[in-house]
Amino acid sequence: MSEYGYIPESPAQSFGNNKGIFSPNDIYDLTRADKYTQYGQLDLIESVTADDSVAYYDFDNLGDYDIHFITANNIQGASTTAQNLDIRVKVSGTAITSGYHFGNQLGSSNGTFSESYSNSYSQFYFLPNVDNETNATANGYSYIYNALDSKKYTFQTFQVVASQSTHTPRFSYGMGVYPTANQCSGLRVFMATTGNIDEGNITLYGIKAYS
Amino acid sequence: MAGSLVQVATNTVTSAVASVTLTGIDSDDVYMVQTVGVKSSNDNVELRIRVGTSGTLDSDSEYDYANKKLRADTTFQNFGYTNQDNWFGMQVGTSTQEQFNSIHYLYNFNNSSEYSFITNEIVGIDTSATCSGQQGGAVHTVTEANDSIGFLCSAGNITSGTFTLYKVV
Repeated sequence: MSEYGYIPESPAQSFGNNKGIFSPNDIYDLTRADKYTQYGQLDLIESVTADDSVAYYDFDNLGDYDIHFITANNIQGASTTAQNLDIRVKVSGTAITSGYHFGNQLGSSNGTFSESYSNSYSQFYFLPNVDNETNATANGYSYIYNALDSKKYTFQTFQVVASQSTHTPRFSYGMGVYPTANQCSGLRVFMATTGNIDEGNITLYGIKAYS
Repeated sequence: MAGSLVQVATNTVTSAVASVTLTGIDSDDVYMVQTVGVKSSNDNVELRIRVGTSGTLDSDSEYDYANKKLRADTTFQNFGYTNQDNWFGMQVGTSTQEQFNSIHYLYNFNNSSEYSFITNEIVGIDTSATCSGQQGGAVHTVTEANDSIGFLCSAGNITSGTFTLYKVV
């Protein structure tokens, strides 16, 4: 009997088209070959809960994905200085601190809308107005494209909502690029000015795509 | 499986094609499309999006959209159009890093009594070698069921890119 209980030849296996009776070893081997159907293509890579112990979290396991998805929920900083929680790519283990481009549209509940942009920035723009006020938190998500492709730039899009007394509740969305073609070794989520990340959850997912 | 993505269709372009159609929208769930590294054979062309019926892309003039175009080098622009024959994605071209990457959420595609809606979250390098993106929403103002979504250029072919359709369950 050949693989998967078939006689005499085993059928070709692929995502969404598995045939046969599978042993644990078969499932293991097919999963490693991306040929075993497992629905649920939003893969949790790592989640951290901030506790005022560090100013940044490094996500150094990026798996094998074209697109990564970061969520930041209920973020507060330890400092009373309102600042961004931003993202940097890491290359060969080092967080890159220059050369980013971004565009950001911002809108506040007080009726103020504005845009900001730069082709010489030191990080990917993400959550604005993070500080330590009661009930003032920032929340949002960001997609990161091509981080693992050594031949392509690394791109980002994001959308967030935040509340902080000086700035009133606000949304922000935008995009950015790290315009150097290389393979990123990780992503750093960090307080852009000072102090630790006081509370909140930051989670990195990979969006699985079967060929 | 609550709160998960389920891959429905994918297409990786490795040789030039006129269009890419992703089919398999057969429920009232929200669907998501992701595109990565989309490039065109012709320089300075539009990457366009259309809904599909029975796998054939609709070329009627029922596409409305409103997008904010963001750029990293200058002020942003508003794009609002009705009765077009496609939804505009962004300008793409042939330079090495010119490309289109995006996330779209699809609403009501399977519902034959409602219009089909899409949100746009797009970033790339445009024909002026600038980081550029579009954020917005769009509607196909026809009460019909759409089982597919497609991408094409205003001229020439799509030469590379990976397109994947997921169901959000």
